[in-house]
Parts: sequence; C-alpha cells; structure tokens
Amino acid sequence: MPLMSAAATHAARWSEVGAFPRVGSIPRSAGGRRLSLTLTLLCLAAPARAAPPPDFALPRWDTGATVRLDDFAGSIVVLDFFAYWCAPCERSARELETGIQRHYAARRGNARGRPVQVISVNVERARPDLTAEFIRRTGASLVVNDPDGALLDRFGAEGIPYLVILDGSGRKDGQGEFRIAYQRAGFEGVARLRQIIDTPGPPGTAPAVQSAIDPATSAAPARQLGEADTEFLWASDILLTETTLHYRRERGTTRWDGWFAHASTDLDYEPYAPFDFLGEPADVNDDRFALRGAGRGPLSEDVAWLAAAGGYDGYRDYRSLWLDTYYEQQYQGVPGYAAAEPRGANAHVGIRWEYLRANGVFEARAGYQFDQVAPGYIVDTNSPTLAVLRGREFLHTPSLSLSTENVLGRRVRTLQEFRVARTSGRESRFSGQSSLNWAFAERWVARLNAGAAHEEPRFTAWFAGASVEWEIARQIYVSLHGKYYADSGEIENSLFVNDAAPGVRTAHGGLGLRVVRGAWAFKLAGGPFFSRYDPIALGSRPFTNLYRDRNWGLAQCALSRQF
Amino acid sequence: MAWLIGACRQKCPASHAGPDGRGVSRLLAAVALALLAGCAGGPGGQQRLVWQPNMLFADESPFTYASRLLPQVEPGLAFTGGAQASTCSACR
Repeated sequence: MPLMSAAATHAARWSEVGAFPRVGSIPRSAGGRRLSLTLTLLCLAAPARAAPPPDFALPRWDTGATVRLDDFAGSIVVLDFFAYWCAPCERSARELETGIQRHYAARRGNARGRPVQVISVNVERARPDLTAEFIRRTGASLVVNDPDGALLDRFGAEGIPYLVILDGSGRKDGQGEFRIAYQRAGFEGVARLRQIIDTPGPPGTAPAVQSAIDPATSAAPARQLGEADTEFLWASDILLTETTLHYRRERGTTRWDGWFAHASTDLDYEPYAPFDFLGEPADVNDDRFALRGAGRGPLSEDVAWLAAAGGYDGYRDYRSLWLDTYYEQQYQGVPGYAAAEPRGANAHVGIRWEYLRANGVFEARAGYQFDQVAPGYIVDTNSPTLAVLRGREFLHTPSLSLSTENVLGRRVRTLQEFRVARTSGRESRFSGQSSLNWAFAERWVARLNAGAAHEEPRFTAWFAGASVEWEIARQIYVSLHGKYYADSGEIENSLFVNDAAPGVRTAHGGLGLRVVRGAWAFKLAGGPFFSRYDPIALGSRPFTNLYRDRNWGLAQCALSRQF
Repeated sequence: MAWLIGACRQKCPASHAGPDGRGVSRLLAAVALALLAGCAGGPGGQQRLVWQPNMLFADESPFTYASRLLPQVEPGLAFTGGAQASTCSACR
C-alpha cells in the first residue's frame, strides 16, 4: 500500500476509538502556584507513583483494531509516546524495540517470567506519511494512535519521548490492577528500563531473581552518525578551505564524538612597497590538521558529565600566515629570529543539567587552551648588533562557559551562551551570545541571534544575524540569511610599528538549501561576504595589504547519515 | 531553583497578551527570567513546532549555518585562541 493512502486511512481512524480518563489521572489545567510546584516536583522526581494509571483503549496504527490496557493483564507494559518530529524519539523507539521488546520476547519474559510488551503511542495527528516513515525506520512493532495526545496529557507529560512502565503482574492470577512503576520525559536508555522491568513490586524492592542479561547479546543498539562537511572562503588574493569528518556513537545516555579536520590557506602575498623595501611577492600555502574527541555520560538521572580534548598543527588563520611571511622576509638570518612552529591543544570538562526535562538544559564547562603561535618581532634597539626580539610564543587560555537552552511556549526555543577567557598577558575577555528560533508559521522558521565581546582596556565586538527558513516541499528547506559584525580593532601597546588589526566591519548574506531523506541530510549554502577596515595608522602601514577591504565568497556543503 | 521553575511554569511570558498594568519592568523581568530559566513548552504532544530539526540548536553540520572560517576575519567571534593566538607583536 502506498504510504500516502495508508496515511489517509490512519488519519480517518483517529476519531474511532479514544482514550478515557480514570482515577489517578493528573489534571493538566493551570491552577495556581501550588499546582505548578506540584507538577514541577512530579516531573523532576523520576520513578514510580502509587496511583493507578489511566486506562486506555486506542486504535492500532496498522489495522485500526482496538488495543486495551486490560489486554495485557499480568504483563509488564512499556508505553513509549512519540511523534515523527521528535528527534530523540527515534532513538528511544529503535532501542525499545530491540533492547526491550525483542530482548524480553527472546527470554520469554522478565526476571520473574512475566511477559513484557512495548506499545509505541503516536501522539501526532498531522503528517501521517512522516509517521509511517518514522515507524518503518525504527521498526516499532505495536503502534497505536493517541488522538492529540489525550492519554499523554493524562500522564502529565511535559515532553516526549515520554516513557511509562505499567506493572500488571501484581496478582498471581494476572487479573490485578496496573501500577505505574516508572514514568519520565526523556529516554534514560534500556539498561535503566530493564532495571525497573526486572524489579517487580513497590519501588525500591529488590528483584527476587537477578536478570539474566547476557552482555554480549542484550546491549542496546547504538545510534551512529557520520558527517562530512567542507567550507570555502575566498577573495581575489586568499583562498581558505576547511573540511571536517565527524563520527558520533550514542548508546543510551552515553555519547562519543570524534572529529578530524583539514584546513588549507593559500595567499598571494603582496608586500606594501612604500613601507616595505625588503619584501617580495610570494605564493604562500599552509595546511592545518586537527583532531578532537568528546564524550558525554550520565552522572545521575538529570545530570551528565562532559569532556573533550583536541589538538592542531598549523597556522590558525590566514592573518598569522601573512604576518609570519612578513617577519620571515624582514628578519630571516638576523640574530633572534627563528622559524615558527604553530600548534596547540585544548581540553574541557563540564556538566550538563536537564533541569526541565525535554524543555530546559544548563551546561557549564571549564576549559584550557594552549597555543604555540608564530610570534611577532621588533628590532632590539638596545642591542649593539642588529638583532630582533621575539614576541610571546606560548599562550595559555583558561576559560569558563555557561549556556542554557530552553523551550518557551509551543513555538520558541532559545539558547543563551556566556564565556569568559583569559589569555597570557591580556585582560579577561567576556563574550555572550543569545539565539532564538521561532516557528512563526507551520512551515516557516526564523532564527535570530546577537552577541558581543569585550576585553579591557578597549576591545569591543558585536554582531547580529537573522535567517528565515521555509519548508518548500516535504523536508526540503530553503533559507535566506544575513549577519553584520563590527569590532573596535585589536588592542595595541606599541608606539611605532604594530601589526594589530584595525577595527573591522563585515556583512554577510546568503541562500541555503537543505534536503532530508530518511537517514540522509544534505546542505548547500553560500553567498557574498564583505570586510571593511578602519583607516590604518601610520605604524601599521606595512600591513596595508593584509588589512585592506575585501569582497569574499563563502560556500558550505555538508552531508550526514545516521545508521 | 524549584520556585524559579515553578513560577515560570505558571505561564510562558510569550503567551501573555501584553503588560497587565503592573509595569513594563515586571514584564521585562519575567521575560528575562524565562530566557534564563526556561518554562514548560505546553503539553508534550503539542510541541511539534519546537522539535522540528531546523528549530534545534544542533551541532550537526547540515543543520547549522555557522561558519568555521569567518572568525578568521571577525576576531570577536573567535572563542578559542582566535585573535589571541594570532601573530601579534604589538597588540595585547
């Protein structure tokens, strides 16, 4: 049966059989501060409640036949509320099917021999074609429809995936009432769910029989992601590229990432003749390679640890390469000069706290960066012979970052980021960024962001950007974006020659296209970029060609696949 | 923290019709509180729009338009090293 016709059939079934409330259902209407706090505490407290669960009778997704809770008397029932648009739901649905449904089916029940049944509950009425795709991808075997999330609301859910474990094995004859053994927004992984499933009776009761889990065959399936992306930025005399390969592996709430990056810089170096008598035009090239790894794992139900480390070898930016070429042509062979070997390493640790499940996340990171840079040079006027003094070569940068991401209402998601960092020989730099994504219409999303940075005594930078994205066809998106940036110029402390960048203003506009097809996602984006510098001071004239206005082109391409 | 979250869950400031006469400062404070602390996004089954892939702050390349190369021209955006790690004999 074609997907669309199947979808239309399913849509017609939505109103056939509904859920109905029962004692123990949780009221959803707002009713003052006390209720709100109660909801908060209920949501923050993960496992079991003593109240009986709401009963239900819901239509099957594939046949329309009614599925009742009473059909599973004597069993353990795992309800997995999902919707096709919920990205975390895909992982939970897939892992529940293989790590719970098939796992216990193969063992003929839980540790006490009670049957275990996973029921995937679709809460989205719209776009049944995408729901059909979701079910096919995840392999969910028993799917029912919950029109408009009525049953979900009676469990008091604040977000999905929402998982409920109903224990119907209370009486020996298998006809007893169901008990809520677990309910939670967010997926903690199959290991946690198995712990609940294999622990019958009131919360905290030790299992009578230890679960006979074979680690070799019972591990939850891992979700993997592979990505490749490349970016080009070019002007008449500069070509920059950066290509990154990324691999991610997730199992339960543990995640590992690895990146490999290659960046290239090609310069048509042109000295500014009126102030540079020794310089010569040159074609200059450099390759930078970088490796980075990151991990995330659970510390408690809502808190996870974060860690990352990486390193690179090569010039960090084209300006460093341009300036190093200048100093090499000026001072190579002069006492005090040495060839540069730029490289660096970094690491950070942190915590991630999901303080509102599925709706609010706070992260804090403490980091450290080491850079061995290509230093600058000045003539040593105190030297009896011609010699140069080498500038600072090793930089140490400890930093602290805080961020919070929140869902505000049904259409807005926000991200606030704040960072303070202090580099050797400099004052602390404070920077912040605020981002807001707004689904202002069914197929339209606006993304707004703005940020600023400040460092004493007088460096200030700010930017603002916006993009609008339109889903022009099913999972095909086109976007229009723009950004403006301005800063006050790097801080100088030299009375004569200095290579600090003057103030710069930039503007960027572009178009983007993104296509999602099943597990594949593809992006192509690009547009013009303009940089305009403030007038160059007399002492910076040798660097006129470095800090001249440029018209750039920017292009990005990315491909990813989940498997 | 619980009182903060609970207060925010009363109702998202974004869903208010407008200032209720108790002053713009209270509205601004509520917005600031919501931005910092977040608030519930409504019933779980009705969050379809905020869970669209292009509504997430994802770090997966096809879902972000952030550039890795532009910070070379915009030193105020460089979070790690950046301008601080550039060759610079005379800048602090």
